[in-house]
Amino acid sequence: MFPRMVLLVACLACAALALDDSGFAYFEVSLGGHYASYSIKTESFTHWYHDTERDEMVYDEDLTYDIFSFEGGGPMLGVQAGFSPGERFVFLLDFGLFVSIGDSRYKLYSRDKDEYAETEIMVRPLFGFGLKVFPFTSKNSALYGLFAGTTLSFMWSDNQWENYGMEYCDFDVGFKVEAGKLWSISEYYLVGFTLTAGFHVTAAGPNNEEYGDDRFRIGENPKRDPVDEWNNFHLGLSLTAASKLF
Amino acid sequence: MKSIRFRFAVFYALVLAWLAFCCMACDPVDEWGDPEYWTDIAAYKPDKVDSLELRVTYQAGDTVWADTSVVQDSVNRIVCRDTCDSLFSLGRENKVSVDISFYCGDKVVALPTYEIDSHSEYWKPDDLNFRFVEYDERSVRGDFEFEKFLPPEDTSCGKFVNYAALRLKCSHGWCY
Repeated sequence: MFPRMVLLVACLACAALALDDSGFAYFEVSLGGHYASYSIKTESFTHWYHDTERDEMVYDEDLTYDIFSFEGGGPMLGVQAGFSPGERFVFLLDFGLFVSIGDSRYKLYSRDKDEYAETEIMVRPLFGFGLKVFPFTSKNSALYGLFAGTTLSFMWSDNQWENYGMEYCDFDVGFKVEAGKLWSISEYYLVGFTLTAGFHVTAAGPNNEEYGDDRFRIGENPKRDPVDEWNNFHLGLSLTAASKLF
Repeated sequence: MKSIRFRFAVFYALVLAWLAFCCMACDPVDEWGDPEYWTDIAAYKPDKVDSLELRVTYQAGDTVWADTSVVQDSVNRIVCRDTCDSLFSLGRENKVSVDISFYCGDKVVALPTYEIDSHSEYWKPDDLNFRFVEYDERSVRGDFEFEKFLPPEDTSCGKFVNYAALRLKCSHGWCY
């Protein structure tokens, strides 16, 4: 542990020594609105469905179960902090909070006629780290302040799965991309807007095997991994205030 | 007269041969002395019926072993440890028949006989671990393979179209 800490500290020291006069610390706050959609389901592995109305078993190659979907929107808050070793690039940490109001739909099997709908408010935090690029550095240019960025991000879900006997991991992994324009209002401060889009996938597991608890039981959710797809999407537009501290 | 060294060498060779034979043919046992491979068949009683009868018949060559159990509990389980372990460790073709009957009121409804063909090897008995249950994928947990549905022809107790045979996956004597 100690050598790793020494190495880490040495790397940070080297990075700090490598900074030239053009380096700056970056801080940004964004407040705006977003649209969000979320869906998750598990693919059947036996593909047999009990049609209780006709009381017969039906084989369906596309059978899925534990189906959840959400569509809505609401306010979003974003905070970014980082540093730039030069003028164009900012390495940053990204924190976000999404409050999404919309309709959730829960369905036990894809062939079920019954579907449960609820109006829900989901509060979902986001954490990420990544890179932001300011390609135009000349303050005389009209394009000064244009930026684009991307972060590797992690998002926590918030819903009522448990009320319907569904068990999924509440942790999503993905990436966020953003682009926008900032205008200087003083030597250190800028304001503008940011357009963001996030794509996340529910993290696999923890399933039964990872727990080492795969004993045969009835009356309990099998907790298999969901269909692997980009199931968590958001699109946002926000007003942004940023500061470059040299 | 043989020397003591020669006698020891012969003894040593015999022990080695015995150990080698055991590795190939003896029943593997776990550290508690139980057979590592054993047969475990359980049938879960549907809520609609009063009781459930489970009859398991093992036939290995000329040897036949059978056990019958009737319960009103939620699960009826027949476990064959030592007997079946020794039956199935002989490298024979084995046949196992599972007969399940539902009792509701004064009626008795028999499900189709479920036949299991098993071929145990000299070094490893077959793992015969089955569960018979009303199948709903959302509420059946474990590591298993779906085999088939066993609805009764006589529907006087109900159709039980989703009553299924599931084979548990076993690994090194552990079945889930």
